[in-house]
Formats: sequence, structure tokens, C-alpha cells
Amino acid sequence: MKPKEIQKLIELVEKSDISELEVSRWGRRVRITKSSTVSVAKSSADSVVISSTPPPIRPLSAITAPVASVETIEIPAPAKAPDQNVFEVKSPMVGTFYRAPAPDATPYVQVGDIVSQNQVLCIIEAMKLMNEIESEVRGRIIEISVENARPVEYNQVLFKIEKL
Amino acid sequence: MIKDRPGFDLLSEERIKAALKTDLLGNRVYAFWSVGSTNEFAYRRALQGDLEGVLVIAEQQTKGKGRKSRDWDSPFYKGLWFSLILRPDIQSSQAGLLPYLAGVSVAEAVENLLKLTPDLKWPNDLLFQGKKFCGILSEVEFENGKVKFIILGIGINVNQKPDEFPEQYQHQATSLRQNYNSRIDRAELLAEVLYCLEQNYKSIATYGLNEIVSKWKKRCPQFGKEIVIMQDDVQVQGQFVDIDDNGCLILQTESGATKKIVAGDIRF
Repeated sequence: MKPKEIQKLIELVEKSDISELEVSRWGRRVRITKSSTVSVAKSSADSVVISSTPPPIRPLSAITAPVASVETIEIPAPAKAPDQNVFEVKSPMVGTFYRAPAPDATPYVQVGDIVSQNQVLCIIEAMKLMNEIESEVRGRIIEISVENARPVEYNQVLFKIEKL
Repeated sequence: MIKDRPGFDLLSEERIKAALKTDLLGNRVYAFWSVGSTNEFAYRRALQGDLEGVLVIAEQQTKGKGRKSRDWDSPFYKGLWFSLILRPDIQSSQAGLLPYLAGVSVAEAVENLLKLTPDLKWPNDLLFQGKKFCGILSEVEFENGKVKFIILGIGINVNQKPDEFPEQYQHQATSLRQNYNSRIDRAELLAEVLYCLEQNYKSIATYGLNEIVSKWKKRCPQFGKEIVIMQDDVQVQGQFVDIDDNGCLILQTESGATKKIVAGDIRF
């Protein structure tokens, strides 16, 4: 399964009330478990755990190909994430917050996206002065704190990013 | 890069440098036949460490940028399409005042050279009888709460005839030539704009940016008047009473409350 697909599944689990999801495709199974113990997320590498375990009993539904492995992904419950692991992106100036380069364009980022350092997150505009705001950290967007095209104040929180 | 050709009014590096009367602005010139966007090129150069004063100019922009990625029509040979890199020592919260510097300077240059007095329209358009001939779009980069650099992007319609504008813009666009009734030497105009800009920029160290804003207000006919501002689909109305320390327009509504505006189109 491609990383992007796995990321989508993680988002699904995060947004839902379910605590575990297992998907099988092309003989490979991915299980995503929402963990309530967040103490494991002490280092950046720990916040997403992907581990391979020996194949369990093959379920009847998985008839396409032999199961090679199961990837188990544990994600910490976002609500309980420790604060020091959450980076707040703040507005450097008074202006209007834009999530996309043009009104009909796709937003730069969505909640759940993994962003790299220096990736553009949004534009702040004031008096036809544009400022592209880039992420200072690598991480996952856990909150977009302002609606598109809304005014923002100096130092107002725009995004919350869980550091990875 | 453009090489000088006798008989043509092309903006080559040599021609520009011969016309300039500034120390800082234009200390390095990138002159193109055609470029996507002078702002984009200048921004990349600034990121790579180019010093302040760098001028990026093109005879034509194929992807000239306006607000919200709107197109800015910048046809070959007809106008001045350029960007400047500045590295002022100011706080990020004050960055919104910098575009006023460009607006005031273009207005002063036009007045000095052509004896015409254009109007400034908030946030930063220059007009004659309600028709726009100059637009300014800036991009800024911050570092540790301060301005790292700003790219001032200036587009001036200089020698277009009325029918040379795209049909959809004809009712709202004009050029300097249409108001001066004669062809204008673009290198001379560029040199005057950069001269005024440099004088104003240097004055910030002594008088601060508020002095520039005071000049700007005097050239804006709507200042102090009742105005209507369109912000996407929302319309706000009130008296244009001030420009604050962040560069925001302060509108006093009928109820007496004040409203801070950072973007929008003023309707007459």
C-alpha cells in the first residue's frame, strides 16, 4: 500500500470514533490502531509506529493473494498529545489569511497532511503585500485555526502542527 | 538579457544604467526580454542572498501577477514592469507600511517628470480620472520577527494607446501616454521613479514610515471621505479616517465604531 493511502487511512481513523481499522489489499494488510497511551510519543519518530508482525491466520475475505505481512500503525490520540510536541504557527503580521494562492485553487494544506520544513502553508495579505508562510517544522497538521479569507491579528495562531 | 540596439527604445541594462541617478536602487540590473514574473525572479534572487537595490525588469511578463493570482497585463515594450529587492531594518508588524513607499514614489516621479498629478487609491493603485495606470504588488519574507527582505513589484502602463488594452480592461485602465498626450521615454521615467523611491527610502531612517504615510494620505482623494469597500461579497461603508501603524485602513462606521481593513476594493 502506498504511503499516501496509508496516510488517508490514518486520517479516517483519527476523525472517526473507531479505535482500530484493518484493510487488506493485494495480499497485504494494514491495521491502524488509535492508541490512548501517548507516553510513547516522546520522540518524533515514536508518534507514528509502523511495525511488521508475522502473518496471522489468513482471513477468508483475503482471497486475492497470500498475505505477506501486516503493517500495524499506532497513532496517538490527538486530543491527549503533549503540548511540547505541538508547534503553533503564528501570523507575523496583521492581514487576511488565505489557504490557497487563488480563490479557485486547491488549498496548500489540509488537516492531517504531513508537511515538511519550509513547505508553504498559507498566504497572509495586507495592503497587497503578500507573505507566504512556511512551516518551520516537519509534522502533521492537526488544526487549521482560522477560516479562509478571514482577518488575522499579529501573532494569532494559524496552524497547529504535531511535530514528527 | 537585452543588448542595446540604436534606434529602439529597448530597456537594456546599458540604457538603464546610463539613465539611473541613484546609488542604491539599480546597483545591479537584470534586464530581460521576457520573464514569467519579475517579482518571482527577484524573490528567488533575494532568497539566494542578492543584496538590496537589485532591479529586475522585463520588456514583457508572461505571468505578471496581480492580487489573488489575477493576471496583470504586461505587454512587450509598452510599460515598465519591474521589481526591486529591499532589506529594510524594520519589525514584521510594520511591513504593511512599506507598499505605501512605492505608491508615493511613483506619484512623485510622474509629477516631477510629466507635471501630472495622479491620485492614489487604497491600498496602492495610481489613477487618472478613476482609471488605473499603475499597480503595486509586494512580497515579503520574515526572519526572527523582522523583515528579511521585501520585493516591491511595480507595473506602470506607459505608452499604450487606448485600443491596446485588452477589451475587458479598457473602461478601467489607462496609460501615462494617454494623459500626457505624447510618447514617454521609459528609461527616463524609470530613473525618476527609482530616484524618488531612493530618497523616500533613505528618509525612513530619519523620519520613520509615518512620514511616508502622511505623504500618501495627501495624495489620496478618498482620505477623510465616506467610502464603500468591497471585500469579496461583503460591503463595508464608513469614513476613511486613518492609516494605522500596521498600514491598515481605519474606517469609522455610522455607529461611531472603527473597523480595521487590510484588503478590499474601494468603490467610488
